[in-house]
Amino acid sequence: MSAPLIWIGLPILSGFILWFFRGFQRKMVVAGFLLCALFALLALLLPLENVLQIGGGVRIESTMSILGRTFVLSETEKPILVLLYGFGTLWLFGLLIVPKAFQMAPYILEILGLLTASLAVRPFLYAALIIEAAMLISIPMFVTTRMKSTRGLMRFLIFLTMAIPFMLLAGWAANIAEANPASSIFLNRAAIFLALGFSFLLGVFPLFTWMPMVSEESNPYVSGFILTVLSVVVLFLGVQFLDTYGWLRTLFLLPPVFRLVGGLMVAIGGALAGFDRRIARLPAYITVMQNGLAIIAISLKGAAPLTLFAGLFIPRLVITIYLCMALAILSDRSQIEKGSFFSHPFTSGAILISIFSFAGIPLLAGFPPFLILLERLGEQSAFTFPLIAIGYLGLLAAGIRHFISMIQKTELQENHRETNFTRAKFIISGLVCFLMGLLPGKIITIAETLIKAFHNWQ
Amino acid sequence: MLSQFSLVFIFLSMASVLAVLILPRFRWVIYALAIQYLAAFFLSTQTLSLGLALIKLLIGWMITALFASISTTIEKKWNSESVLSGIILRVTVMIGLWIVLYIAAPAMKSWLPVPLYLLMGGLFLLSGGIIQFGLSNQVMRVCIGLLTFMSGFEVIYASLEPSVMVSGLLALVNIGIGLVGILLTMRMGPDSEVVE
Repeated sequence: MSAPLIWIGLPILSGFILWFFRGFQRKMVVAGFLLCALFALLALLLPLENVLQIGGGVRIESTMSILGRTFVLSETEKPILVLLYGFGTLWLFGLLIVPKAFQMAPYILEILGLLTASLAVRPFLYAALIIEAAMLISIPMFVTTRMKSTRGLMRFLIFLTMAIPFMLLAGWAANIAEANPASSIFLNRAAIFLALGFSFLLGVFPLFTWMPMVSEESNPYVSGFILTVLSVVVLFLGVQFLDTYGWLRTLFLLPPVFRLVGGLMVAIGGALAGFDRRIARLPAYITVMQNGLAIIAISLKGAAPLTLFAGLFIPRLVITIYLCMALAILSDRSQIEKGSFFSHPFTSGAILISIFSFAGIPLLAGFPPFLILLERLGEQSAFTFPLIAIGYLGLLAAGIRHFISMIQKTELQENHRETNFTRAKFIISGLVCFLMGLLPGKIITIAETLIKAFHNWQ
Repeated sequence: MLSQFSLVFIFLSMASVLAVLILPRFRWVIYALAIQYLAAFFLSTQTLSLGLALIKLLIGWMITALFASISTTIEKKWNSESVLSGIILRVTVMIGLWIVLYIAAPAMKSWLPVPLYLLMGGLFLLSGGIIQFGLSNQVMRVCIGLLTFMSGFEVIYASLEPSVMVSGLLALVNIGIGLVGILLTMRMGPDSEVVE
């Protein structure tokens, strides 16, 4: 028995088996939820490389070889598995109140399995191909959940495919650079290829155009999952690459470039959120902003930039579920948010709380890591501040604009109302959002556990 | 021996890329795509083992055969993008880009230590793919563009890293792109207009 088999092989297999039970949609979602929770629990509890007293004694190996390549999931990587499968569990739990997206349950397991494989594969250069495979698998998920158009999806596919050559060339150049550290030519080439590859994967300005398009054209719960899980895994992969190839971290241009790129992403994401009236596009703009913040966090020097990097993820994952769930419920209305406060007060409230939480309003989940980031950034790079200010003002403006739209009276006949289950879910999620804002210490503790995998950097 | 004929294969790949861009019948495009994979195969054999290159060719032809199976669905919409002005635009952009790449190829060779004829063959295919998916919204044109792009990259990458695992994964990605094209065409319609 090996760890990659448990967290890569079994999720893919179970997703594949679940796919055959599409006729029993609610049961399929519940089964997917239980399986995902099981994988998260196993990641939390199961010790690796130690003999377990089950039967004749079972030892779970951390590596597995396929066709001469290895997949490694060691003890230090377990917190990332808990994060990924925990996120999947919460997403599947949320799915219970979004019937139109029921079909995505088996795909969630398969995508999580493949993305885990992309983090575990050695050497690193295969990761881009595995991510592409995961995203190709996600396309039927968009189609089966009644997508309106394929323009955004096509662009998503194009950008993701264009990342592959750069990532593979980066891996090739990095291997040569490691074998020949005296020559800086291949170091620079690896850095350039890598920057281009990650730009396509992360939607760095101006390569993020597919994100709002996909958000608008598809079910918000489906697109939200892909946007979030892809960004998180790619960011972890980037940090893993920087952790493995130490010489990349020492490139003197890296921190200012990261700050500029991250700052631009925050500013443009926020500004577009502020100017765009279509609320369905909001998760995409927020993803761009959050990716920008994560890139800025990596660029910081001194006291544990990785802790801050990981700390940004925890509230982000929770609030995104909250936002996408609410948007998916409102997307059933003919006008998504206009007058929604009267028919769907809890759902509308959830959207506003999540927007303001992402905008770093005090006492909400997004505030503590945002405050730490600003403090550290103030000490090291003041020029990024105006960019961040533009982004956050834009997001605040978006929150106020959507709030005004929500409280406008409308003549529309409402066919759908909130159920008590939905209300209870949003109340609990809202409380979690406040609790995370009130207990920032817990977020930092979890973040410190998450970054144990990157031991060379610390 | 084969390297002496490289120029022929490069011209063959260029002709097939142009054919995919301008041909008004999807059935003819399928033949052009099959020839394109053949040209990429001959270029790849210079660096990859015959078996591995053959696998790439078979995968390519398999995808082509899959596309052929839905050709009647696509045929009508394919014609709509075959107006003369569009064809002139695509051909002009394509030839312009090839001229730029031909001039830039020696400089690019210092970045990627690949034989020049392979680099040019790969870049011509790769750029053909970019023009195909860059100038159309049709699902099938985008997918064929992506496949052309990937096959161009594979020609270049094969001489940098002739790894079996990478070739296998790239083949899987190619099949995935082909299947996604078919799925989207069958479920959403051949073009990407809003389908309610």
